[in-house]
Amino acid sequence: MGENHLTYFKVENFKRFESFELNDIGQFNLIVGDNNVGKTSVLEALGFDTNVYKMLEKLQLFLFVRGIKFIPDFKKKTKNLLEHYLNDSKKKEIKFSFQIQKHTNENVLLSKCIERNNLTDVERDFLEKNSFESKVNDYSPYQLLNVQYYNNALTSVANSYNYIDLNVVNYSHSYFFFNQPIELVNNLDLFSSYFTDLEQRKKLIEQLKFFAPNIEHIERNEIDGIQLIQVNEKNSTEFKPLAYYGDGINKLFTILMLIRKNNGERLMIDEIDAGIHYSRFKDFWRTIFKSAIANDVQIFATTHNIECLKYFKEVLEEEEKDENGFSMKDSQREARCFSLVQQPDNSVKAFTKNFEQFQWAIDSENEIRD
Amino acid sequence: MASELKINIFVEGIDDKKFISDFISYHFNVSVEKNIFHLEGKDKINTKIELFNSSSASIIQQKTATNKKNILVFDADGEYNNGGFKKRLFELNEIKVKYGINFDTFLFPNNKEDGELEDLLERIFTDDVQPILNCFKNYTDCITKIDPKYSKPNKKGKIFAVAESIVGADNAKGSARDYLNSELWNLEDDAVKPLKDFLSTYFESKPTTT
Repeated sequence: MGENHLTYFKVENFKRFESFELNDIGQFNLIVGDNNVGKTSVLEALGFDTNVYKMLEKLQLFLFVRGIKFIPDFKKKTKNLLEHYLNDSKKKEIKFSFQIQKHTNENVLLSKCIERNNLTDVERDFLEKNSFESKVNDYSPYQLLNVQYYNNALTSVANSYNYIDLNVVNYSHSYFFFNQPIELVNNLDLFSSYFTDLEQRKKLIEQLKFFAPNIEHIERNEIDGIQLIQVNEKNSTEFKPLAYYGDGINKLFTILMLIRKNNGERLMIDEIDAGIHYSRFKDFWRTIFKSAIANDVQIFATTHNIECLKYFKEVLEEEEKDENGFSMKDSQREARCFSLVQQPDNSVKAFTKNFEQFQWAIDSENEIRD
Repeated sequence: MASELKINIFVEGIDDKKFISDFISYHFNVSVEKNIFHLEGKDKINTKIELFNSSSASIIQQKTATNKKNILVFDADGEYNNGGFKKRLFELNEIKVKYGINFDTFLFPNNKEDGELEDLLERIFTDDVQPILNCFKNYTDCITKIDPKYSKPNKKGKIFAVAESIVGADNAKGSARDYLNSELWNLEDDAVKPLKDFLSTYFESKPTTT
């Protein structure tokens, strides 16, 4: 598991969670549970970021996938959608606590506080002038996310420099939501960054062949004056946009790009099974596992689908070794299933299953999704 | 939620799951398909208390966290397999403490004697089927007469053989049995009263028709 991967996570005062924690986190984490128990909210919380702009991008995305295009307008004193979305009107500070792999042995709750080296002059100036500074110090066990702070920071920056374009929703690359527009499929920068040479594209083609066996080439091409990611098939010279293909291949392609983008970090995927035919699940999971291992990415994925869970298990039972002597079975120790269960007091608790416990539950056909 | 019933039922294996499901359906007119969980696992561990391991306990812990009542229906067993009514009760209490789980317990056949589900099933064959049990006894006596060291079918085998005579092999297997088949099973027999009384604290009895 990567040294920056989470091993423990806790969030307080975030949406429906007064306090919610995940224990014994692995590299491949499934999150299951009933509707409205908060699976997607857990993914959102896992995206906590010390960078003010990245966090705002994520918050915008969370609202955008719900059909709300939130563009902060600091001139108007309007109802603050973000504040209400995050913790209603409780006005309590949202707190994140976590451990990451490289410090697990030290048993220390690290504070990934605002990393001062990464701040711009404006942000550092803002911090120094605001009482927020007093809540954060080098030894604080918490990373505090105060929504008002972000609003103020942006106001400050916007007023000073007037360069932030908040009329564009920038999609956070830490997430894949099932109803997210597939504009990422045509994200040329991502594609060009991570699939620059022939060898990488060849490998990508092999990964996509599970969904489209005849694909031979993938390129960035122009059609009708628009740059698009396009593919061509065997025995054909014609290229057509990848976006013309089905949901399955577009989804896999997007996730593979996001895995490359989030090298060493974590990627949250909501309803990972959506759009994938049950017969493709094994290849889909195997491809994602191998890519995540190669890129040291920690995966958190929600699902309702029992077949998706079964194939997750079956792929991790595969003993066949690859050219490096590695088998999928070697990753069993990194697999977890978190079942979110609403308690009688309306709080939500996550029950952790390691691979053995998860395997037992699936094999005995006992329901673990609620 | 998947089911609105405020109850979780934990049994040993798939065969027990089928019996309890049909029994509750018959006496209480309720489907508990989504509320019954068996602890056997793929490897079919038959040592009773070994059914409780971190995997099965994790399921009970998860289900215990909801606002539902837990019921555990197991075999009492006997000295023949290192069990017995009192011993099992004691062991199950230790399991509760060890894993921090809670459940009400019923031990087959009648929650007071040693035995298994099969002892109860033997008693609830219909009157028409009971004579077949005598044939089976003749069969096992015959084997013993030839040589006592030869093994004879166990209780499960006996129940299967008798049921097979009436409904055929495929429908005689534990998980495939239809306990609502009144040609074979009498779910009104006095032998089921302890189980019915136990379950009636969690389910309302269906009205009797006159």
